Amino acid sequence: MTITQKILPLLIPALLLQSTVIPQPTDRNWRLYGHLQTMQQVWVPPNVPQWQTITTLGSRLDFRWHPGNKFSFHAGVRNDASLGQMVYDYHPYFADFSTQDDGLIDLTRMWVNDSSFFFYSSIDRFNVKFRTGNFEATVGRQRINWGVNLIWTPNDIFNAYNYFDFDYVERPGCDAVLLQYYTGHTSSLQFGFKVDRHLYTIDSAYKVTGALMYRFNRWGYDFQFLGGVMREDAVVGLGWAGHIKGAGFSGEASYFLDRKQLFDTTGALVASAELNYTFKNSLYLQGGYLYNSAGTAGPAGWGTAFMLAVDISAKNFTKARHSLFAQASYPVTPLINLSVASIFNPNDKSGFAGPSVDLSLTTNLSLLFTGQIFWGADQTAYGDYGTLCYMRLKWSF
Amino acid sequence: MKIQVMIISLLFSVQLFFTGNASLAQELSAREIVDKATRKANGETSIGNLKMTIVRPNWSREVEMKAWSIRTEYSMIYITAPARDKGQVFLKRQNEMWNYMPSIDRMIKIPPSMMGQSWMGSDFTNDDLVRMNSIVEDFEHKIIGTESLDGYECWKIELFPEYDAAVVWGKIYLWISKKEFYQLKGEYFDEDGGLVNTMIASDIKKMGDRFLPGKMVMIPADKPKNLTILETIDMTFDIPLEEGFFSQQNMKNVR
Repeated sequence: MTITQKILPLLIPALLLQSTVIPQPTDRNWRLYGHLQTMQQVWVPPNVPQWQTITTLGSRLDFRWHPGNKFSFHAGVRNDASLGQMVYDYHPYFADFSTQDDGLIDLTRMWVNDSSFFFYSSIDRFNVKFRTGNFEATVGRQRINWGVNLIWTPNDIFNAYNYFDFDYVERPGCDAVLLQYYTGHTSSLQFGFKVDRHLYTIDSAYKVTGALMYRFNRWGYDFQFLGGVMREDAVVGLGWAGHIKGAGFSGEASYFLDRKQLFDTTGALVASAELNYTFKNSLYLQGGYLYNSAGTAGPAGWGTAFMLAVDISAKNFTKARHSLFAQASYPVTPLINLSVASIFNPNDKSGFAGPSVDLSLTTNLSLLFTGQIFWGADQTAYGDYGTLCYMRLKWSF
Repeated sequence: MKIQVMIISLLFSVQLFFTGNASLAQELSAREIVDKATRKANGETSIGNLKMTIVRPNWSREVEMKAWSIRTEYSMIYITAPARDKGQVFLKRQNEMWNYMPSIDRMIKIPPSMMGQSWMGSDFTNDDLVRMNSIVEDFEHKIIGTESLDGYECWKIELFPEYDAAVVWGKIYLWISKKEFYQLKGEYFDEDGGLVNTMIASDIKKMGDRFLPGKMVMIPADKPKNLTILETIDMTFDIPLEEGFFSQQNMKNVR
């Protein structure tokens, strides 16, 4: 049986469904949307002459339903089929890693798994939201986004994400309960609670994260304060977003203390600040800095060959003490966006550069060329990853 | 330049003084004219559907949206098309603005520099769309002449930003029809006095309880073939809408 024969029967229902629901009438209480894409990836590993390739066919379907004003429902599923030499060379690790589900209930299903290809579906949103007056409760798999910054978000204790996983814009969800009480038009009190486990780590037991956050707006700034527990740690944090002379200025800091030894250990302070400015010609510049008191001033490598396999959390965006970020992006025309981003570790002198060209081919079809160029000595923060090149054709519906 | 403006306005007021039989409308100050035209175009409150088309010599793109507003102070925009951006919400409360992306549950505060940026790739800036209305409070106004546009007799009004106003324009000319108070044309200049955009309004049609231009075309001075067209598909005015509607909570719930 060829790959196509195995995969097509699974993709066709999704495609048919997509074509029959478009166009959708405007006055109904549900919505189905998503995208279909193909991505080609070439990896040039460091110190190895052989290039590796991988092809991914992916689709995403989101369903939102609003029966009345009190309840709403959201489900989202991504379906990915990957094949290529990289899958083969790292079999079965690559497939296992791609399908790991840290949630309370495993909502990821491997449909086909072979040494050269695999196809899986992962439900990353499945939640019900109840709303009455200023109160809202969301239960189920969801994304709880407490970050304020765009790159490093130490306040994002529920769903911190890996910056290098650029293709997964929706980000993973978590199995959680979120209670929100809006104390004003621009202020709210929120309580989040989730249970998850970190598979492929030494301790893969289920752990609890729960915290309270108060968010408000004063003097033209948004502020937030939070406190609670993130897995093994107690955490307190604060964040802000405002502007200085027109430039966006935001920041977040969190302090983590091992909750079993609250009084006899020093904690970890993770803090990040960002500035961005948009010129009148739409040139956008952004700079960021991340401090991690528990990070090392020496070589800050993760000890893995895959940047996407590292165990990112609000406490651990990098293993480095200091990290710097800079980005410039410019829309040459509304259809062509050029951008280059860079991260640098001033201690171990390793870094990353990510140039990209994003083309809008038609209203719903886009073509992206991007690269992830890593450099540095072995065992440094960015020295072990080589260069990755991507080409992605994406149709949104 | 400034002296000329002063003289023109002085002459204009002197003329009014001597003619004596000016209609009520003609006795309005420049500020009151702009205020009245803005009130007419915006209503006390409004809800409507808009379509923006970005036109270039070789291609065009459309963005559709639903918009709510209270006077000049509060507005909310929900993107309904294209698919990639559908569901995004922009909230403006007085001088502050936020953007919410439901796909990643992310709310960001939009800094002033980003408000002067082109809005979703168009020749309109964020500022044009959500702060357009502050042309009353944040500027000083002077009537500098009378011109006829499409058969409508118009005042030409000059606007300079107030000293401490955080606006993106250095100067604006507005053409407002004398009888109907339609804003039929606008010229927007940068701080160095260079023309940046020209806005031309047309297609007068009935919207709710009033007649208004249904189409606005924004033409950048340096690339006159690159147009942005903003069409009002439908709009109703002065319906009950409370300030509390324009909240971060509602940003996540409107559709």
